[in-house]
Order: sequence, then C-alpha cells, then structure tokens
Amino acid sequence: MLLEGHEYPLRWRFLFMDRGLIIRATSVQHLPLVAKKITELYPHAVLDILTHQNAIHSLGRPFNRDNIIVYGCRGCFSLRGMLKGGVWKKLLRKKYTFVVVPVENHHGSGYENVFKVALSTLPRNVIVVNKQGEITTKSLTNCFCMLLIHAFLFPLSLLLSIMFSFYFMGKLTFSLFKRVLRT
Amino acid sequence: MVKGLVSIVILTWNRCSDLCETLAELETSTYKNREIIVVDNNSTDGTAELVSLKFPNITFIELLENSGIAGYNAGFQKARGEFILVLDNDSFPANNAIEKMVNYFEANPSLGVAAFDVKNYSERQAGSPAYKGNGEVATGYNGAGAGIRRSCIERAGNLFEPFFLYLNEQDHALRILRCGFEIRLFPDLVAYHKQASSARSNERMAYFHTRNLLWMVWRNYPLSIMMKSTFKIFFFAILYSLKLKNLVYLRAVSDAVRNLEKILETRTPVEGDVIRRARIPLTLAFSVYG
Repeated sequence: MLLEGHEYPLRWRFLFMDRGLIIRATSVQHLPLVAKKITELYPHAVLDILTHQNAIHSLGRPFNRDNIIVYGCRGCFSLRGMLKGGVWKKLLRKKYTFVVVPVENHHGSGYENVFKVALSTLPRNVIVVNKQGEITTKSLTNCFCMLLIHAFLFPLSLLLSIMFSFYFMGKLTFSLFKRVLRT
Repeated sequence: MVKGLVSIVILTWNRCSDLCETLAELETSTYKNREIIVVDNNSTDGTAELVSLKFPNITFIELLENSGIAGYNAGFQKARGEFILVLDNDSFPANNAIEKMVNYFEANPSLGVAAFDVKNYSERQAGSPAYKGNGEVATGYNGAGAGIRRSCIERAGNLFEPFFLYLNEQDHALRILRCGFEIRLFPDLVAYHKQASSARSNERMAYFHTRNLLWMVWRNYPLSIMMKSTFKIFFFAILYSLKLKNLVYLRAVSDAVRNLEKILETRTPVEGDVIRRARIPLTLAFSVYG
C-alpha cells in the first residue's frame, strides 16, 4: 500500500518532493516575491537558485548556501559549454520538477536565452513570474514554440540589422571625419 | 566642502507619500552629521508644500520643469558634504548604514562609490547583516542607494543629463572606473526600496532603456566592442519590434542615431576589461516592455 509522502522515512522523502530551480533573470529585489509565489504553489518544494557569482552576496532569505548554484563562466550554457559539462550537468542530475523564470514583462520576450537554459534541464514545466507576482505555467511545448517563433524571425532581423548597420557605419565615419577636420 | 558631512540627495517626482516616508526614516539614522537635499522635478501632487511643512530643516530645490536625472546634478551642486548619498524618493538606508558608509570611505581613499545592497521594502528588518571585509568589487551601482565621494564626482563629472532617465548610473560608474576610483558593494550597507509602481509607463521605460543603452555604448565602449554591441542592439531592436509588433524600439534607435554626433563629442572610452567585467546585458532594454 502506498503511503502519503510525509509518512515515508525521512531519507526517502526527497524522492517525492518537488524540486524547483529559480533562474535569477531579474533583479535580486524581485526574488523574495518570486519565492513567495512559488512557495504558495508548491508548499513542500525545495528551491534552488541559479545565479552568476557576482550576485551571491546579495542573496538572502529564503536561499541558503546549499541551494545556490553558481555559474561563473561566460559560455556555461552555450552548446560547447553544455557538452563540456559543469553547471549544466549538475542541473540535469537534480531532476527538477519545475523551473522558474522571473521576468519584468508579461510575455517573456527578451528572456529567450533563459528559457533555453530552463528547457535544457528537462523539467516538467516552466513557471513564469512577472514583477507583479502573476504566475503563468508554460508547458515544454509552449516554451519550445516560443523559441521557434523567435528563431523564425531571426534571419529577417539579421538581414535588416546588417542593412541598418551599413547606414550607421557611414554616419559614424562621416561624424568622425568631421571631428578630425575640426581639430 | 565640509569634512565628514554626508549630503543626502533625493530626486522626486509625484510620489509625495513615499518621499515623506523616506524622509521620516532618514531622521532615525544614527549618523547626525548630515544634510538632506530634495530636488523636485516639478511635481504636481503637492510635494513641495507638504514636504516644506513636515520637514522644514531639509533643503528643497524646486525645478521649473521635469528634467529627469539633471535634478541629481542640481543636488550635487548644492551639496556641501564630503560624501554624497544618492537615494530614490522611495528608498532609504538602514538606520546605521550611513555611519558604516563613512567608515568605509575613510578607510579606503581610492573608494569612489560605496554601493548599497538594495533590498525589497518587504524584507525590511532591524539592523543589517554582519560583514567583515573591504567590500565586493563592483562595476556599477544602484541609484536607490549609493554613497559617492565628492572628489570622485568632481573628477568623473556629473550624470549625463541627456539620458533623462535610466542607465545613468551605469554610464556614470564606467566614467568613475575610468578615473581610477573603485566601486565596491558592501553587504552590510543596506537600503530598502519599494518596487516601482506599474503606473510608470512601460513604453517610456523601453524607449529610454534602448536609446540610452546605445548612447552609453557609444560614450564608453572601446571601438571594436562598441561596433559589435551596436550591431547586437540594432538586431534586438528589429527582432523585438517584429515580435511584439511595436515600433518603440525602432523609434529609440532612430532618435539615438540622429544624435550620434553630439554623443561622440562626449566619448571617453574605458578599457575593454572593465566592459567585460561589467557584464551589462544588451537585452535588458528589450525585456521591460509589455
């Protein structure tokens, strides 16, 4: 007969606990609200936080040293960095139930890299928490479609930005030339 | 300049109740050798009258129009102190933080900015965390709580007024580093800040962030990094304009490029290593709108 989670011996309980990862994608000030909202959704979950080493000293409650996962290297989550292992492998081993992506806006735009990291840890779902504390739960398919649209617009944006950059280079050269003539 | 005096400079616009709370909190500070300067960006909610009535001992500067961060420069000019504490109108330091800040400045003559650990208002608690150290090396500061040495402002210059709003602290920080001063974050210098109200326009935020990001890059980045970063910002502006079907980013880029010559005249690049350590995210401007 299956027991309720809390009735199992303590050393087995971790098998049944939800484990969540918060990716620090917004200011440290936003984190207490994020943690509060997630705790309301998953009251028994263990929360880890993924952050750059620059922000460690600013993290306070409810995160303690054991729950902070630090990345220091620039390309930790690039394809090469992930294949090399390190932080990404550590995240994969933890088998997160959910990953939290705090955002400043309502739609997650501008956080595509964060969503890629979130998806790479293969959670069951991704939870988006905005600045007002509103929560949206996105399935992996949903996140993947969002990244697909982003990728679809990529080549057109690249072409237009190359064209605009030529215009900018021309204007920059002209301005610098005028400066040199003046001196 | 009065030695040991801390000039607290607060910029305000239409947040009278938050400002009054900040001023009331400052009165509980353990460091008494201070002056408080409030610069009002032409508020229309009765800030000037109420603050003059409730806090007659502070210096109140009323500007004739909302000139954004230029108000801080007006406050810096009026300040007589050796150290200047910059606060937002809805942020205040822990009551022993100013005293600790002065100690840190006196212990380290090359310290230009003592960055406060700005926490959410809801995390407010008595006292501040224990810390023994010389601070963590930083490449920027938060305008909601930062102590700046007066001589540092005299050498690095004031805040760049055309920015109006946003990214002025990061721009200023790069200039401070260029002048050879240090910026350090001290975990025991705590300031509490309320989250910005959602009434502040998101589109305005997106516009200023994007435009000022380009200007900051053109003013401070070495040429090769400047070109790469500019290209990336153009790319993101076009990508997110297509994605969100909104022209705010393109408008910001267009205004930035239109003033390219004026910005280049103020260009003084820092070392590439400083830029790499600063890790200024180029996508930040594109995540605030919506």
